[in-house]
Amino acid sequence: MIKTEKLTFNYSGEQPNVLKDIDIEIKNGEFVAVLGHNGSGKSTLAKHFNAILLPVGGTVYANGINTKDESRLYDIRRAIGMVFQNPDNQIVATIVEEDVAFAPENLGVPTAEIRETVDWALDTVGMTEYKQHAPHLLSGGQKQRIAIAGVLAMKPKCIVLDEPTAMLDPIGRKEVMDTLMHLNSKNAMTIVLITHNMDEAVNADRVIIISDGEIVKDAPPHIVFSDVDEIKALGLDVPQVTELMYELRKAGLDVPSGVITIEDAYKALSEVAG
Amino acid sequence: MIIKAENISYTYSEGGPFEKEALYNVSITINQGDFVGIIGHTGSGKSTLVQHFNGLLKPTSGKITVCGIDTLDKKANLKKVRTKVGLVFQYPEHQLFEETVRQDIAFAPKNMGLSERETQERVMWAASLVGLTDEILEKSPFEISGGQKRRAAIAGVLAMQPDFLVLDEPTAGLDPSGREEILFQIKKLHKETGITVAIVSHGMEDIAKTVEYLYVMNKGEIAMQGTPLEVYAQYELLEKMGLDAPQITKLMKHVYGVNICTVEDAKEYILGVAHRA
Repeated sequence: MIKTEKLTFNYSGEQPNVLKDIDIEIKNGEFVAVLGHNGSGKSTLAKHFNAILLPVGGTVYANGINTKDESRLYDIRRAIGMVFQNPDNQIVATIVEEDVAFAPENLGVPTAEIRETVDWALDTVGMTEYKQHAPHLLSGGQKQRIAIAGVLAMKPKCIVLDEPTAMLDPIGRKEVMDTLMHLNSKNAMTIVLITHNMDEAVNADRVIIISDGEIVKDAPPHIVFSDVDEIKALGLDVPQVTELMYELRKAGLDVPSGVITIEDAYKALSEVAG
Repeated sequence: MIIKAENISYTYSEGGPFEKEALYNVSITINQGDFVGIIGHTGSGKSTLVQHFNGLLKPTSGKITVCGIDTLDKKANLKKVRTKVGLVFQYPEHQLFEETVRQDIAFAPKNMGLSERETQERVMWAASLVGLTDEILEKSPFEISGGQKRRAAIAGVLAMQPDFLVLDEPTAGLDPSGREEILFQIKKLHKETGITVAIVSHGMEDIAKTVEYLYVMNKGEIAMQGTPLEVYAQYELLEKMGLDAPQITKLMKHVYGVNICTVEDAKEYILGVAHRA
């Protein structure tokens, strides 16, 4: 779906490289979380996935297309949609369904088909009952789901989300995460989620950690989070249960490593507690 | 006593078509030196409440005094209230506007009519409280990191030397080390100067290890209050209100039936149990 080869980038020739020789491949249907501290280069990387930024060195293939091929820009943007942090910056219309229809209208899709697409997109994010509402009166989580529906209306193969839950409360976060997991499992949508929230990253198939423009980890979450000290040294955090189990193991207690969900922690501790 | 609110209610656009009651019969007392957290989901009324703390909003009914000043009193000196209570909004770094961090922090004391020398003293004092170095003071607010920007914005409020610092979502949008850093600086500030602090948040795990007392807002009312431990122990109720308790609280309650809300305490407890067995 997305492939980078020796991707290097800087914002100007005089400044140091923000991305250094990045090689990654994201396959169809994968759910990938990208972590990294502020300024690590993760947002810069994400912007290469649909040609918002172009590499200074190396190559990026988005849905098989070289992102430097300007004539294919629309094809790239249609295949790979992006959702950003602040939902208020991404909503253009005054009625929810008109906002979702914005992209297909611009793509020249026939009216009947737009109707169908918009209904499908709103249904997929669970916002059908709000289709006649004004977006500014919705909650943050609802607005962000509208932004996702707007991207879905282009029928992309992959959605890249840059900290979509950073401004949301726990309910809003859960709504957005449930939507993403549903899209991934039911619609086989490829999801790339950039986040600071470790509890969200544990839901991914694969976690990539970026530090100073380089990939330092690329593995399933239970492996990536197993070395808590190393993750903390990278300026990141692990889920609370992971940290607790790690500390208990260090203190000599016989509990499994790589515990990332509260359910696994229940199980492990219940055995210890007898 | 810093804040004494008695049965305050607040209705947005009272009498208009979009009339909305955001606060309902809230009573809250915050004393000198307190360190409190106010949590609640979006729309629960927590931001509406804290805007009463410096007279930005005035109750539609009930009464609130801020450092002894009744904000509803027509003769109340609200300018004085606002120098006593420093409100740091969400994403305060969006409000940085001067050419250098130093000038930005100097803005409020200058407007308060302090001399250049006093202003600079305030700037140095505020900057050191949030851990900003001389080097950063000379930079443009656009050249520094997200965590530094936020600390610069907080310093801009501290430079007024308020008695009460209110921070609305001070860690939103920061990475884990940025969050730790901000909370560490706020805790240190509270400890060293004894300033009264209120943090408004929905980041449950952050707040569990930071504040001394918690208020939970729901549908415009104070639904629960107590120490973080007491509040998080009722996590089922919190979840009903759209909030979440720290993972550790749920885990420890489920397995051991005890109230614990930080990783350190949980570790100690479990190891204690294991050694006794």
